Amino acid sequence: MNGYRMTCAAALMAMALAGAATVPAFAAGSTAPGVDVLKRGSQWMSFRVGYAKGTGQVTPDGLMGGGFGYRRFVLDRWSVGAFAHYELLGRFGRAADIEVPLTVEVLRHTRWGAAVYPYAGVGMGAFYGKRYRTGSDAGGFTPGRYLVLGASTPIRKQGMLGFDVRMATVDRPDENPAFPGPPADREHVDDLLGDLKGPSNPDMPLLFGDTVAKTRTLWSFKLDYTITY
Amino acid sequence: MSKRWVMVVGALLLPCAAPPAVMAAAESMVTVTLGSQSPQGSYADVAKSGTMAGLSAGYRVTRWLAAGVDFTYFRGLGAHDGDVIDIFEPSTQHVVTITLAENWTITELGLYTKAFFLERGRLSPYLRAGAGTYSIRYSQDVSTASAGTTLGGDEQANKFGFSGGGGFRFRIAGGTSLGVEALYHRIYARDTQVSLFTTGATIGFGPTGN
Repeated sequence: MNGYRMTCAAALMAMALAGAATVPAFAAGSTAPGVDVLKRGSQWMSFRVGYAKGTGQVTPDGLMGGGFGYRRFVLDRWSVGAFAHYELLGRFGRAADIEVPLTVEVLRHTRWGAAVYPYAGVGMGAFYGKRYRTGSDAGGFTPGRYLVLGASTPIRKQGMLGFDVRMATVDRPDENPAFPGPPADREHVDDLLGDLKGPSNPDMPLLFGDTVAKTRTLWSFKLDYTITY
Repeated sequence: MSKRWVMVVGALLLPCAAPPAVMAAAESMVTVTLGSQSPQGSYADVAKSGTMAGLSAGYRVTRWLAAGVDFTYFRGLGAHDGDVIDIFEPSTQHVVTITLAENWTITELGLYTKAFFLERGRLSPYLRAGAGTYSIRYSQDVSTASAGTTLGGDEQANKFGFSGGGGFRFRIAGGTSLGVEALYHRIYARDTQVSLFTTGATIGFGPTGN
């Protein structure tokens, strides 16, 4: 199942790349977004939908996500943006693993050939994680940071189609009945900051075999439609 | 004040006496910072002073204001690092004498702004403020043990935080500059005030002719 979904995601990516690499005939006569879309003062409003997944040794198959956001070019080829996404990372039965990233990002844009506009950058923000219908639902915000990579190509006047790939690092939620994770009753960093103040022995917290990953990576591959103005 | 210090102060003030250079906007610069970090507040109870390294990329939007992105790594030993203690090993039910190895590392990814003021000649003092995400990692290990032990592991958490401070840079040639920077970092942990004071030397690289 996972392989099937990965194949679908790869196919979507390939379609987006193919679309980005060629100028559609119906776009040829339009007012070229051209260089102007990367000029200082340009604004982009983006909508996107696609594949999303969280990493881990035992994680559900990736599912889908969507989002929207706004970018403004504060300098030529440099943009600052704010985005909101909703990502259903996967399900075990009815239990769902959901992530809602609310982020800001800084991107460097460039131009390849006539009509391909790749970009790359970094971002950060608050990631609201929710585990739903698990028997012990939990949710909360955690800071996260990510790398972003993508490309767009004009398909109509003031309209661009492309893809967007994100790799975010966030805290891994504690274990619950449906999803594995680090034990909830362990000494967290917040606990250690207080409990390590005392003398070394005999009461200081000790970590025995505590090697479970405390962070996880969230991947997303999305088709992106952008309105430029 | 000795003659030597008078000469040092005079040498530092000399660039200030030079006529202001044309510090054009649209100046981009990549800066590497190397220095030390000193835990403050409650964080000083669990961590020792250590080192820091940073990389930032910024752009001078106007003559007095720059903005950019920075990534910084802080490392320090734990307060109990090197302590020899007896622990009860749960896997063997025996007491084991160990030498503890503790590390605190923090990585920061954030945005910053710099406000330049009183620029004279090649010298550019500035104030700096920033905000971002901080990933705090604590690790525990043993450096020596009297018997086998399973002690070891790590904990990690992401937090929000901000930084503020100042520094100056001195243009040495073309787009290259040297400088000094001091920053205070405040990280929002649940119950503890995690703060750091960093001082570092900076070297900046930018296009010649900025």
